[in-house]
Amino acid sequence: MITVHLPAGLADEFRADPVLTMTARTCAEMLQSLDSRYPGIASWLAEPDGRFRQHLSVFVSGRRLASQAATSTPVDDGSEVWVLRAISGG
Amino acid sequence: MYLLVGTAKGLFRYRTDNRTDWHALGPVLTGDPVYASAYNPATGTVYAGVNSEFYGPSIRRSHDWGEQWDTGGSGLAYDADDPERVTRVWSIRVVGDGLLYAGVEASGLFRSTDDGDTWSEVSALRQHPTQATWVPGYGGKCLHTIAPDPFHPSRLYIACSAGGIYRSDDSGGQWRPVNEGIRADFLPDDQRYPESGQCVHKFWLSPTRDGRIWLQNHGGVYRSDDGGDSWVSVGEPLPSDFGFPIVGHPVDPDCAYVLPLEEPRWSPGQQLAVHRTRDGGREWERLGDGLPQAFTGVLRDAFTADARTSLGLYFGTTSGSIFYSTDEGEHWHQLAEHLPRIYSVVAAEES
Repeated sequence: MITVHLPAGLADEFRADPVLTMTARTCAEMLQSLDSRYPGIASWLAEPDGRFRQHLSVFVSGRRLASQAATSTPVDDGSEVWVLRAISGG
Repeated sequence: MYLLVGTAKGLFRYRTDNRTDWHALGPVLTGDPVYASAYNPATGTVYAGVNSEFYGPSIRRSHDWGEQWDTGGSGLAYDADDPERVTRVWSIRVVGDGLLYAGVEASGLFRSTDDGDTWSEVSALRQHPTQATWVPGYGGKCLHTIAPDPFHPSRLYIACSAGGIYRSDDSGGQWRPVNEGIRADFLPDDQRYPESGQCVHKFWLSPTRDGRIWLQNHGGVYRSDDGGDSWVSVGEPLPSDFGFPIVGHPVDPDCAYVLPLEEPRWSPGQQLAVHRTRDGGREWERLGDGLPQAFTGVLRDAFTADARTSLGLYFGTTSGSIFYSTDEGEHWHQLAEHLPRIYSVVAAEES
């Protein structure tokens, strides 16, 4: 099982629990699981080409993924995944 | 009637019963740029094109004038192997019976036949060989105007910047550029009238005269009387033929309104003013009564009309003011000020 932390505003929009647990071996599987619970949410987080959106920061087990990281990135069992809004805007 | 005002920081809403007393309902979808909105009186649905810097574009729906919103339908994206991405929604056009169109950045057209639950690209448009001539302007590479033709049920027009105006006579199956006679100031002298690549800022299709189109170009105001097959330049009498929006009269096909801008894209003399023609573009009159000196501009979707007798006109500025007229532009009044940068203004009448 992994634990996923969603940005509060995003969780509100989808009436989602901001902290969820699920089984996933990659970020893509995590997004599939999220989307099955909250249809459409995966497209808010990742582009069709399988990369996270540019202005999101994703941490897996305390390590920040590269900007626009591939969602094929592995997630170890027991990991905590934080999806955060990057420093952006004006 | 409601006025839906899309800004850089959300959608602002105003309600009126008499077009004189306005009630501000407060902003919704706050924090995100709203480039476009639309209303379907048959279903009572408000649509908003929300362009989140974090979560991407979506077309969200509300059935209570914006108090609550869904998270939008699916499919508003290009394929994974497409070299372009859908980054913003620029236009939403309600046709009826579940049919909607949306114009997006990078320039492309989407269709929904289920009121926005699902979207799919009208792919023949981007497959047109002239698509290679489309380039982004300062605002982005956007498809900003969509008009189904009330006289020809299978005819559909779109315009993109830069790219030009295109027409389909088979509901989007095939397209052809209809830019002949429209100038492209930004190309070399001997290439200024290309087949495509023009930076059309906005066009307006008359609902009362078959084939009549008004068009504000990036330099030049034009009128077509034959569905875009040919264009007449009508902007010469204006103090500037540059501007972004153009609004036609919903009943009188010879009447249209523009907001000329000069460098650095302020009204001439920094005096905000609308200009109106009532004779097909031969003469234009300046309508500035009630409008202030202002160092501001008006973007392509930030000027609109209602459909009432004694036409109501409404526009929002890049410095966050809204002005309106209830007498066909003769006199203007300020409705709001100090809003964020205004992208779009829509007048929505309840059925």
